[in-house]
Amino acid sequence: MTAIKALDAVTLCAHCDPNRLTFETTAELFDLTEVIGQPRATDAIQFGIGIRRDGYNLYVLGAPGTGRHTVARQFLQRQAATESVPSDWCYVNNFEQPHKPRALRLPAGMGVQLRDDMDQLMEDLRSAIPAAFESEEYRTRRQELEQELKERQEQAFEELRKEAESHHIALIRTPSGMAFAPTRKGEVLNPEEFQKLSEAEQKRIEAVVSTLEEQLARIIHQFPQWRREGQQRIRGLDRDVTMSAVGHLIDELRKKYAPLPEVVRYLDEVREAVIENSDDFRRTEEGGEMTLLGIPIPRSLTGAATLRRFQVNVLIDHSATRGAPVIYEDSPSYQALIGRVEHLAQMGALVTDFTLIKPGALLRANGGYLILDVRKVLMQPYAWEGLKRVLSSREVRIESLGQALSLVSTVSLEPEPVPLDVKVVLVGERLLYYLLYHYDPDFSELFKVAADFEDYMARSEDNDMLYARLVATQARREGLLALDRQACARVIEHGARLAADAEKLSIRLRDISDLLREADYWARQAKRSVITGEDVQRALDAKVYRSDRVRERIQEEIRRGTLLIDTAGERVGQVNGLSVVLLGDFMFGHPSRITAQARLGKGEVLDIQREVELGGPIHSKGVMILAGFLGALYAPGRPLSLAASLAFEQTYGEVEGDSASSAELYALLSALAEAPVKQSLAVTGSVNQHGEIQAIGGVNEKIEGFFDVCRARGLTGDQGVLIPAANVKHLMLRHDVVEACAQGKFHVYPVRTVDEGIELLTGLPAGERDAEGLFPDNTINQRVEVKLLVFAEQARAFGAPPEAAKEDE
Amino acid sequence: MNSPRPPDATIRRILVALDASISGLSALEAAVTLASRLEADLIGLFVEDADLLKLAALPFAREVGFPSASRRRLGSAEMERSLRAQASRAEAALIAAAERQSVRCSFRVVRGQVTERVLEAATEVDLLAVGRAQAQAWRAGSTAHVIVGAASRSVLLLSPGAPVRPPVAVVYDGSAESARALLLAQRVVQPESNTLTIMVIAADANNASRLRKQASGLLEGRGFTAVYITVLDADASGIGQTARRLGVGTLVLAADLRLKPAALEELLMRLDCAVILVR
Repeated sequence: MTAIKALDAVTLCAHCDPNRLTFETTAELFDLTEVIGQPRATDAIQFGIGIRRDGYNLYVLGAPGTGRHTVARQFLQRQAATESVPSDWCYVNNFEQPHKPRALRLPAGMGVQLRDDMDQLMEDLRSAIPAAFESEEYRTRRQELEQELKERQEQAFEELRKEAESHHIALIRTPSGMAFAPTRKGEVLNPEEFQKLSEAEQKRIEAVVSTLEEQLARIIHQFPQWRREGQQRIRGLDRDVTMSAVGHLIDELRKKYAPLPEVVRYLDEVREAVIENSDDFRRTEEGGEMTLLGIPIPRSLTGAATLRRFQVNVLIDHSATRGAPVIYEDSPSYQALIGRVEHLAQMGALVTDFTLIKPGALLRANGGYLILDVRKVLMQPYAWEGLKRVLSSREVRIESLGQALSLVSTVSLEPEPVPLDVKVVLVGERLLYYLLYHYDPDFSELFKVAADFEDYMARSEDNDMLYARLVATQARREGLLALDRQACARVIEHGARLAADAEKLSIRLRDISDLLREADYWARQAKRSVITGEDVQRALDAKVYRSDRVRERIQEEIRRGTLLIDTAGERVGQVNGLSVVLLGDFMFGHPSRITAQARLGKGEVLDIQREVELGGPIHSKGVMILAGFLGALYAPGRPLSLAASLAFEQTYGEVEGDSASSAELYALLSALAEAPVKQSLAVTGSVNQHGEIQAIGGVNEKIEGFFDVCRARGLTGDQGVLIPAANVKHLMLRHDVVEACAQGKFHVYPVRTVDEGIELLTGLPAGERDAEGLFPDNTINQRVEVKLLVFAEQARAFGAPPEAAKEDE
Repeated sequence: MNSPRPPDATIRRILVALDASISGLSALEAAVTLASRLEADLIGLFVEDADLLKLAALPFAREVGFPSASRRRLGSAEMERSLRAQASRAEAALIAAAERQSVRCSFRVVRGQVTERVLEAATEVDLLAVGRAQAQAWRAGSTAHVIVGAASRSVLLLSPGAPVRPPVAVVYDGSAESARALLLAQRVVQPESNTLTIMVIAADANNASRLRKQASGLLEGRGFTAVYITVLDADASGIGQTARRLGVGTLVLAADLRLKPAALEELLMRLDCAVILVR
């Protein structure tokens, strides 16, 4: 039996020696410009930004607080600054199909210019057109045309009247038309006079009247055509007059925008529309308030509405943009991403036009980069579907959700889609990445580049210095006091503790920043000009104190004997196991009593936790491995006739994990060997079927949990914890624990096998099989084997048929 | 038959010839407005056209509808009924319009040749209101100017869609009639827009200045703003152009304005605003 030595205090915590840090305070250190510990992620981001192909959008995955947002944004902004400013986008009226507004692309800054130019044009036309129509020239020409029509009509009547008169017939106006009456000396003939005429004369008159009536009807039939012709000529005159007022104004704009054929085409359409609708400009702004059923209508909705058609809606204005845009959308709802068409309430109805189209984040980022939180996108109804559709079609079609889902048929506007060239950077958790990858077939097509952020970086002397610069940069960025060497060393140690690994450092910047802010608070409270190691320690202690109410209750109940934990003496079939509890971001360990009972049975190791469904699957797996180990080691050639039961005493919630499987095995071996176990020791570690002890998580918290119980009862010098040897590199224990170990008051034993562990716990040798395959006498293994042999024999005896029993006799 | 003329510009009775047509009704509205402003009585006259009745009695009588151009038979009974119905509509319109503006009114129906009857009735009043289109309609070929020329009293001549409205302008050339026109015009000016434009017609600047003084003497103490426009060597077209340039709504002028022969008729033809011709 070779005694396992307790670990040196040095190995219990990988201290950062302040003397190795080559500065007095972090104020002397330069800012860290590069990203540390993330070569894989930064390479991926650079690749994703550089490759200009469809579907090469990025998903930046990693734990929150690792600086994913900051790093992604830094890289994007650096790249965007070298790229050209994208185009402006405007919506203008489609004069042919007003419900389908046209999108106009203009060089950066020209959108606003076009808008202002069009506003100025309208302003000019509002005075130029009425002035042209009020001119003497127009009035005279119009009167001439009207007079011409009038005279044409009058002349036709006059000629007819004269012709009638030549036949002594008068043209008379009747209540609903006209009629011809025979006259004599200018007086209409009465019936008696008519009767006195000869029959031939009467017939002649009737015939003439009939002919005249036909002529009159023909003339009247021609009136509408004459009126149409007259109106056409008046319209022609109006066009000429409007053209004279509009032509040169629009020509000036055409010249200015000549290099942009789309704009020139639009200006030509504007000219036509202005000429066709010159009446809109002739309406005076003054005049009484307009009402509908007695309700006043705002002027902006009436007179000005017709002129709104000539406005320019500058959707995207890059006049002040430098480089390509990098947009972060904090609230990525469907509308915030795609854009929306707003409505105005008018007389109880909702009305809209192209001036009410508003852009979404995708359009704002067009030609550049859009950063989105994937969780937020997925939480917003239809935002994810909308985003994917836009990325697939590479154009933004602004439509309401109702339109997109075909829920409404009253389509108000169908704006022309805008071509999209944007790289979307999703930032999110790893789980969401893998879920999307697995369940959404579009995802892998659209987000081909994954940038996976590490949580930790390797620890070395060089990296400690880099870490110190990271601390210095964070402190400066936050406006915090500088840290002295001790403080910085303590932060580095805490970085390793956060990583739960003496050879690693956590690069979750959020945790580091929190610690720095809190240490700064305590330093300022103590009126210090730099943050000292004491302030950092105080910040750490204070944080623990704020969160450790539950831990304190458990420790108190152990002290008071409510939770039964022995820290002295020996007991058969009873071992102190160790478990950890995670509450929010605070993790602590505490001992739990594990007991085992063994008797004759059918080879079952009964896990009481599992039987009552308070054991998780991994815990159950650990217990089943015990049975495998026992059978293989002690009863390879015969049935394992054992009924063992294992229990976590005084636990009232679910137990999960296999880190107590070694403790359970020790308890069982103790029960079988009837060898008492030292209660001054606690155990953690999982075991495999070969009896090797395997690494577990939370080793520091577990050791500290048992240490706290022992310290409260008084450290005897016998107390300690058995940990898997594979966990030694993870040790970053509290300073008080390390100190107690250095003074020999507490011990941490690295254990590789079950044999090593059971020897430490019982003080008896485990025993190895000799050349004949037998364990030496009075070793744990021999006792267990014998006990199992006895059980097997007993089982055989109980199970043998009566005849066979007789034969034996 | 002629009643003695009032010594001043007072208008006590206004005759409006009614025929229930659109232009007739717009003349009615304008007449009521003027009657209200001048505090005059309004007399509505409906003339049952004798020519129409004679025509309807003829065996072949037909009318050509306007604007339908369809031909219909005419009969005496239908024509009588039609005229009665027209008269009732005209009376109802007169009463309604007069009540709206609290004007005293009376209505009568006579039968005969329309122009003659209207001119005859006009001798009993101080002013005859007549629409241009309406006058033309009484007998095709006759013009408003014939009636205006034949009338022995002041005439309010209205164009379709041009009611008695501000700004009011008056032509003053120093004659007694133009002085009456000036006094009438100042009564037509609405209280809310108390500006009267006075076009002074003179041969030269001295004369114009004298006439302006005369006019302002006549208007002294009447409490409104007078704007003077001098028109030198005015003929009909000069007055017409000035009125159009000023956007005159109602023009008051004396019938015996010293203009070239037939110039008045030309002026009336050119103007499209409401015109009050003072006699």
